[in-house]
Amino acid sequence: MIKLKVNGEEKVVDVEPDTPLLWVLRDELGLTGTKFGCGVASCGACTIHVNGFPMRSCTFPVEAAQGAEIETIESLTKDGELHPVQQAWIDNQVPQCGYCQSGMIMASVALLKQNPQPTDEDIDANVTNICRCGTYQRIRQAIHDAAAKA
Amino acid sequence: MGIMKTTRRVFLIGGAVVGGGMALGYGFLRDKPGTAGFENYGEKGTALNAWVKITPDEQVVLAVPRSEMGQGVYTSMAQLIAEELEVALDEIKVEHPDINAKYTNYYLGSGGAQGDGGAVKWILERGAALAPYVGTGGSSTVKDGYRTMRVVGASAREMLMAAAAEKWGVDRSALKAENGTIINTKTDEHLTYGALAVAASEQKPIASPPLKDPKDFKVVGTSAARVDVPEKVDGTAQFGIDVQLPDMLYATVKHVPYCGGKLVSFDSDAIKDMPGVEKVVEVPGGVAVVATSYWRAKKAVDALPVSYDDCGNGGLNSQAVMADFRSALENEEGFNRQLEEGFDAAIAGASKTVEASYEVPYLAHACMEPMNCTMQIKDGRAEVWIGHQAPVLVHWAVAEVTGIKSENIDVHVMYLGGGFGRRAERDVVVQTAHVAKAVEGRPVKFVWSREQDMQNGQYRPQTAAKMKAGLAEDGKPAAFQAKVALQSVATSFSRRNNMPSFLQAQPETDDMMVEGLAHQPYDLGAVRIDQIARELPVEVGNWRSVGHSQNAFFKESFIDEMAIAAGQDPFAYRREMLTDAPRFRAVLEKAAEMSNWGTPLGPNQGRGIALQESFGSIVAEVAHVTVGEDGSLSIDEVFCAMDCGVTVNPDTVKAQIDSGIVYGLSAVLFGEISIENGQVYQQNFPDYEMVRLSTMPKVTSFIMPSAEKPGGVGEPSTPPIAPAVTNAIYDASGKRVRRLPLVKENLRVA
Repeated sequence: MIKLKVNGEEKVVDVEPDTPLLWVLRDELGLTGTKFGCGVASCGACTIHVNGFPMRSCTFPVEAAQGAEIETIESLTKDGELHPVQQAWIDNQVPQCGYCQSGMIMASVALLKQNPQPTDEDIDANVTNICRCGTYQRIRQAIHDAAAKA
Repeated sequence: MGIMKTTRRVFLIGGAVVGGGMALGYGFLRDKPGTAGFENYGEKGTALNAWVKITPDEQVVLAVPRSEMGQGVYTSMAQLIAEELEVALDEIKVEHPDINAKYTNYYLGSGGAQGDGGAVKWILERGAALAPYVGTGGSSTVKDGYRTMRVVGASAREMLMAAAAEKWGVDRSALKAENGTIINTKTDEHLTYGALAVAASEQKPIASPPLKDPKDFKVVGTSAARVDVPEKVDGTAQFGIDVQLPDMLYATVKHVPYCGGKLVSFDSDAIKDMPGVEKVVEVPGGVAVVATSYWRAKKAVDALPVSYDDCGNGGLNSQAVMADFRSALENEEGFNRQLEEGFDAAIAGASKTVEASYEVPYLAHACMEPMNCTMQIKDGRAEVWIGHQAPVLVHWAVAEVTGIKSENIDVHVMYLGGGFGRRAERDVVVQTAHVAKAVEGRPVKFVWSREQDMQNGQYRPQTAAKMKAGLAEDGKPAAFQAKVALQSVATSFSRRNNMPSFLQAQPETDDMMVEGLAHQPYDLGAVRIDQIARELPVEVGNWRSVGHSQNAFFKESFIDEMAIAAGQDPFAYRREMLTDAPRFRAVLEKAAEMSNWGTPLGPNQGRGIALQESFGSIVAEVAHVTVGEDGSLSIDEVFCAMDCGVTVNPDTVKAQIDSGIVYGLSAVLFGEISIENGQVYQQNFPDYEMVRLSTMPKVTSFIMPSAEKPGGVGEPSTPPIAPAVTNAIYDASGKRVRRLPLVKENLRVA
């Protein structure tokens, strides 16, 4: 049995300790907002926060997550109020197919926490996720908009 | 022009028109409206026709039987219905219904052919006997639905009005519909659609409801916010891979690694004691492990000892295939697809000839959401959850494997995490059906790993092209010749998807092999176009923009070479050849103007222009690039002008322009699937790189104002980007790129 703290709640899961956190979130806890893209930490679709830092959960073993504060896309909306990054995503109509967007949003929220006024170069260096639909231009604008409103 | 335009279209023909109910969706208006069971599907309500229902709590729900894969069809289709129905877009809900003849995509079914009354009619009628073609592809949704969806909305509105007129005992002319209510203009009384729904559903629909004059549109033509965006920013959007069911099992697969190979044996005993393993099931193409979680299934399938037979394909290499293509272009006639009178004389008599050969590799779709399907077979029924472009193919595949009749199969079409043509295939559905049968009673979610997805695609075909032009003394083209060698997508698709024999495509009539190359708007003099088709054990498929994706590269690169040989500016040279094609010329001029064509650029910078019509839309793009002495490359900016006729939602059109450009640019810069010793070499994203934020150029787009019939927008911005970039590289550096991707030509983006 492994104890986890996910989105502020204590959870106990019965999985092998090497199971990537991604699959625990999705298959055991039903938090399907975090997506499977590559399984090798390349595309970022599975990005979550571990102790406030962005983490690609598809290669992060669940045993290493014990005792950590784990946050997923499902935690961003608080009391029905969208996170400013989510609002900027809506204002800019960013998503197309939408599959990568949870990871993009989590990576962007983490970036803005570290660097509230990022330049384009900062964005390029820190949000390295793949979007196959090519929403990059709007992602960049949405990050700047969220920064401007902070 | 043949009717077998594309496989998607061929396939479509397979189910096209609904017996008698005529094209363009008017069938639903005959006699009884027919609701396709929409009232009982998903949220229950009172249906006014197969597209509009109203729930007891007065929610208006619209059916959009097209797949939402990012192109915004849930919104554009809803806009068209809402415009005539007089409901606000933020007041409606959208539902994806199960297949029904009423939801046939006629445009896709007919390949856009308006029918010649002969072979087209015959095939459509034959197809109708099989199944309704409900599918999304070929950039066809708005083309198919632009008028039909307005008729659907107007018809429902008229039924609501008739019900209100009856209730108030007044003439319809005294009524107006506004914002979900019918208003009696004489008394200012109001009745909501919800209050009228039941009475309205008993009204007889009129065959030709009055439609608005486009100048009165309030919703169509506006950049309405997309209905699917809110759930795509909070993680609640349900893709196929997100389905969760009680007691669900998980499965994943190991495919035979050899193209055209087969499974010989596997040793289930070796993994039977691994955690959570339930079953090992042989499936077409490989072997699947069923377990209590994806991760357990994945670990077990990785550990499963398997032996294969390469079936003689162990020596297959894409380089050798390309060498064969090159030789074929020199030595074989192929199939002629266009030959204009006087070609031989024109090329022989030209004052100058230009020749060049080009090559492009296989490409994977690499949808962000790996292939997956969830299915439960129980009590003689099959229930399927999947993000798919062709739900009718899903029905066929499940019926074929399980023996369950289509009426006992329910397909729930979920959001698609990317489609691009990949999700029009039945492979994962067939595999899931085998596994679901083996664990009958329990639902099973079948998910491919990224590696299995990358290595078991239906790739954009590797292609070689040989081009030749004869120029007159003034540099204008007198003759133009192109010959391509590749595999036929239409043949490959129709065979592996087990299309009925009369729908099996033939390579000699596969128009996709030369689409965008034959029948050009340019005045190229006398034209000759030929295609050579090769049979290979590599599956090829419909990759966003299909034949246009490579043919635009060949044609627009070569026209640049012709302009240079003629000593003329590439933009001016093209414009001269478009004297008789004013729509094309206007688009080309717009892109040039946007890019300040002709003004000086910085050192090592260059501009390239390209023009391509596809799927009914005309697109010109200009790329600005910088090429360093060391081969470092920067794509600085892209300008795009598109004439897609009338637009339903300009913002989603612009999003599709961006999207198509990025998809094409990833291929130009990095994209290659290579076959080595019979196997796909690339395994995952690190081997199949794509544009990310750091390599994303600024894209500026412009939609030409137009009242012409709508063109498609999901694909047309992809084809021109490759030649726009390589023409710009030539302008910047003098290096003519005739082979993609650029990374293999020692041109790397920083």
